[in-house]
Amino acid sequence: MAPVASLFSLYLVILFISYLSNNSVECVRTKKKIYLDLVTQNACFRVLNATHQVGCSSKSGGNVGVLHYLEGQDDYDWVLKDGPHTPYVVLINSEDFHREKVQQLFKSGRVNGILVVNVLNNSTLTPLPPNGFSADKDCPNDNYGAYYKNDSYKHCKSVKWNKPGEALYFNDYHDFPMFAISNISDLNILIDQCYRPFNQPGNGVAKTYPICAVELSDSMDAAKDSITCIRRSELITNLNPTKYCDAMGDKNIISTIKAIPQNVPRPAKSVIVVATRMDSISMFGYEYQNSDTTVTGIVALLAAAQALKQVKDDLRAATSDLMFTFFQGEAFDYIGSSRMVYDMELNHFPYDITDNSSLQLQNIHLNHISHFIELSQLGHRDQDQLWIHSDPISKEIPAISDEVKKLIDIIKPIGEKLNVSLGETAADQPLPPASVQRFLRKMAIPSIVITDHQKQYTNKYYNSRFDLPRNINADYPPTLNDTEKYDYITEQAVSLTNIATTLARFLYKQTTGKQLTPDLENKIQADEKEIAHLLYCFLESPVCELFKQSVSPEDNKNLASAKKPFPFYVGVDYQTNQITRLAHSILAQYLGDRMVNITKEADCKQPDNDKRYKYLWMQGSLKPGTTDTREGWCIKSTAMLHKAKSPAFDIDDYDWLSGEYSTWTESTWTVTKVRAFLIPSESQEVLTLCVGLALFIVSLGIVYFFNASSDIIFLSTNTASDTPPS
Amino acid sequence: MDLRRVQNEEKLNLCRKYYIGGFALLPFLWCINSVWFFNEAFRKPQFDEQKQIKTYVIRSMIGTLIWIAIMITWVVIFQLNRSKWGATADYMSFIIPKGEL
Repeated sequence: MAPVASLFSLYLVILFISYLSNNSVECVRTKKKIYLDLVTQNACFRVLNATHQVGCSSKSGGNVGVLHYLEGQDDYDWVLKDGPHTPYVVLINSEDFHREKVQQLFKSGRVNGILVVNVLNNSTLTPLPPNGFSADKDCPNDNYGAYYKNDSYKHCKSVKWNKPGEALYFNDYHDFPMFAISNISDLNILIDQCYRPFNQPGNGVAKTYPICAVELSDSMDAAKDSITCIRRSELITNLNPTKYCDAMGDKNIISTIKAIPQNVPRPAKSVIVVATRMDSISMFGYEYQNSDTTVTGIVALLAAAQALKQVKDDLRAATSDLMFTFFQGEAFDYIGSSRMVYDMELNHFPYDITDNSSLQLQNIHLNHISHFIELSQLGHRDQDQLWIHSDPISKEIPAISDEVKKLIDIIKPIGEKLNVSLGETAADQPLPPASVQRFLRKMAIPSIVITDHQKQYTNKYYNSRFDLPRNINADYPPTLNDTEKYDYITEQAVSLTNIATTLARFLYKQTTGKQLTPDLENKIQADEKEIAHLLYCFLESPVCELFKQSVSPEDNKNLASAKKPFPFYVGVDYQTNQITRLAHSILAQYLGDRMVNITKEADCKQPDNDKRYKYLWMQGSLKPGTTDTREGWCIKSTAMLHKAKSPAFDIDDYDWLSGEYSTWTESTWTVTKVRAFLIPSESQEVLTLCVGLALFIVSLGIVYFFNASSDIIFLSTNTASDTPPS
Repeated sequence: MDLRRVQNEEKLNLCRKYYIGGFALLPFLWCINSVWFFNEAFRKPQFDEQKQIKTYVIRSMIGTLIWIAIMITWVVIFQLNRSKWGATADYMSFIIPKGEL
């Protein structure tokens, strides 16, 4: 009895002491005490085509390594040769993140993952590589353009368009995760709380334990190639089918000026297509800076549409039709344009007319296209000029060559008047990567591509996270607040205004055949302010007045919570990108008509007998005198979304290896996460384990003892009376 | 079922049923048979049906061993070749590991 009582009192004392020593009782999970979670989600992830998997993936439980910040050559030697704490996870500067260094680290077998400093608004922390950087290939979309069979032009034999392109994006980093660190607080955790105090070697001697490690998790589900992952996703052997990958895709935005119904034939060669592309790629998720690569083209085309607003009745009355087009998925072997060509060939464009009881938009076939005008990058003008590229192969046909010459003869003087000088590239130079190449693959169409480069890209950061507004003079003086920035007219806004005006006047003249009178020229004028707004909304912050009034009420929540510009990455097919919906809505406002009589969302819909027009409900401008209620606009226009999914995924028995259509898919994944934690020395780990085991054995002993002497402890007083009589 | 309460005759009957059933590509019946009737066949004092039970149990054991050998061989072959066989192997699989070839 006595020893038991003293044991109890000992327990009480221990409990009391542990309570005293920790007098503020906190509920923090042990996990939180161990790990420092980083906010970064900017992972390099896996995408696949018919033959390869590319991008990055960690091991299924994540890759762990001791953090090392690669500041100089010494650090490379340390990580690659001398350092004792392998494997490492390295933090690397933006300038060092290029193919040679990445391959060296990847192949060393001593490195388990890469983190890249990517604080883009701080040029000391993140200097831009002076010689350029592009995650894309030096010959983008090779094999899927118009020259895939042409011996003198294929594989960019005559011009390597994207010289800095190292195709890092198209390399397979299996079991080798990479993340961009874009948040300054993440960087501080890594450098000041993890690397400097625990890991940084002093005078070539490693620090002692504990040392700081980082775990990178972005394990990808798909493997090998699109064929494999799609087959696996479609297998139904299991009650709970798993998805391994999704087809890439989104929506093209199109809008014709005329609304020709299906019972009126469309004359051959009567549609002028004016197009640009919407999407880009970059190594890391959510880091799609896109200033020159696509935004200059998108803004110029939208602004041209707006400039034509005042003369749209003239355009509607013209014999030719004009179609504004924004292609999606072009960075991945021309998804959007190849889909459009495919649908046109099948008479499914813009949609399949199934029902004749209502008016629907007449189909457009390839034969209907008379001219094709494409805008590409426009921000970095080579020799202060824009350049008109045309296709040397189709120009071998005299009729086509004449038409191309006519187009150039019309646009050049219009541009000169506006201080936009347009040069022509050499006659035997092929087209740069452009959506029109998909059309030229099928038939010869008089076409021009307007860009800022004469030969190779003037943009050193094509398709990369460094394609920043400040590189195209579209950044803001640091003193401005958000409202001031929104209205601030940057240098780029001024040049884009002139380009958009040139384009609009050219389109007017080409479509109507009328001469441009001074009166008309006054009417057809791009709005500088609106271009400034577009640039701000696309590049600086989507939470801007133009987007707020153009957004549908359902999407308003996404817009309100947006912290940075909406990504331009095409994404997976089953979701429509926010940026696509907004651009669609803006185009509809420019080319369509506002139905002033309709004031309720429920009334804003197509009449049953006329399906040619789409009715879009958007938030509209603020009600006068209020700061949060919006009046709601109903816009009637021909602007619509057209499926931009590679035909490869929709054709039965498609030959995946034929190389005809894009086969890109994006792998699915469960989690992308980076966290830092301390690891103790091996001897301490062993000690912890041994103490734990000892404690376990002792507790077993105690329980055994209690059990064996339970009679004495619990029943000592009444044993006799409780015993039933025998 | 508690074998202690079963007549010897009934035991033999059961053991035979399991043994014969195993031929219908049901190796688990043989496996169960060899475990369940092991005591009856080898450790109980002699009784009339024991000899027969012993025969069935021994044969069941042999059958089980052969099956185990076949299974192990197949699993090894399949695991080594799964990625090489591509589509065929996927169609044979119930669950396909994520992120693996």
